[in-house]
Amino acid sequence: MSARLISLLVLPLLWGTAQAHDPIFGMGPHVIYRGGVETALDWHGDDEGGELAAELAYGLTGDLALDLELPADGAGPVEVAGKYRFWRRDALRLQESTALAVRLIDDRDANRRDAVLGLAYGYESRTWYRWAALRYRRNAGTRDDVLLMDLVLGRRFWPGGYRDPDWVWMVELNGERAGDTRSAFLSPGLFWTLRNFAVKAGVQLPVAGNADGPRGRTTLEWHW
Amino acid sequence: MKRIFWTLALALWAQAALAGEYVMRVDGLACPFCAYGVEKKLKRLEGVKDVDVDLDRGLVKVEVENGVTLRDERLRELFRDAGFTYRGTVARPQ
Repeated sequence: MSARLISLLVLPLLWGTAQAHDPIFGMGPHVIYRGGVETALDWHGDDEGGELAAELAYGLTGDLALDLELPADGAGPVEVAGKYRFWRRDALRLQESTALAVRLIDDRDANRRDAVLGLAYGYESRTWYRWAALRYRRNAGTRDDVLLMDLVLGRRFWPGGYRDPDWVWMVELNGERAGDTRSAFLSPGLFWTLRNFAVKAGVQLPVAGNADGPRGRTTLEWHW
Repeated sequence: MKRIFWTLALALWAQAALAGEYVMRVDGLACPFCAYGVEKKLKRLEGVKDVDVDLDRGLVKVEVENGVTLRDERLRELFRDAGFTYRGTVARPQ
């Protein structure tokens, strides 16, 4: 299976949910608060082009959220997802949690429906972040299924006050396996926020395996 | 001018006297973006004037109008819905 085809299969998966504070390319356990609404514009692409999507998420409870993702130009898959944070440990200045997520991808143009199941762990403190995630994408038809693994380390070098701009720098190690093809990426990124607005941006640099690169992603996100 | 000054001073004092502040200990507060939900939910309560969050000390400060009571059970539910854990109130309005 060619590297380009791998990218085409995996790129839509990388959209994920634009949930903050979560990794840029991997999956994290965070969900928006009950009754909260999250809106996002998400761009991802590589040197041959990119795609823009609009996203809407709603918090059903403090630990359960639903997500809808639509292609900005009307062409492309429609995605519906749910994430449930089933374990959480809160302590002074830190939160640790795990979540399960399911995503359904309806590609009307290609007349196929794929599904993704994910499990994520996250640790978030005033200075350090760490995440680990596993996702499995079941592809309809004859395409290989994809297994994705993510390890992420993040750091807030200058913790500020509640109303100050906030900077979290992170680096991800993203692994992908589809059939006999394996790829690994090193992905630096930044998560910047101010009050209820966030900007996430990162680039995936292939470091092993068959995939082409680099690939990029930028997300603008609002909480209401 | 003196009359204006004293009228203004009296109005400001009355404003302060009619308000009070709750200070609550909350766990899980690590980032300001995530804590925004706390402010949103508290400001929807009647009588809440302002909300501030001290992330480093794990404190949520809520300024309320005189006579407003924030009960433990309601706060526990509110913070749970916001995605955090309420540990208790360390200061209440006089």
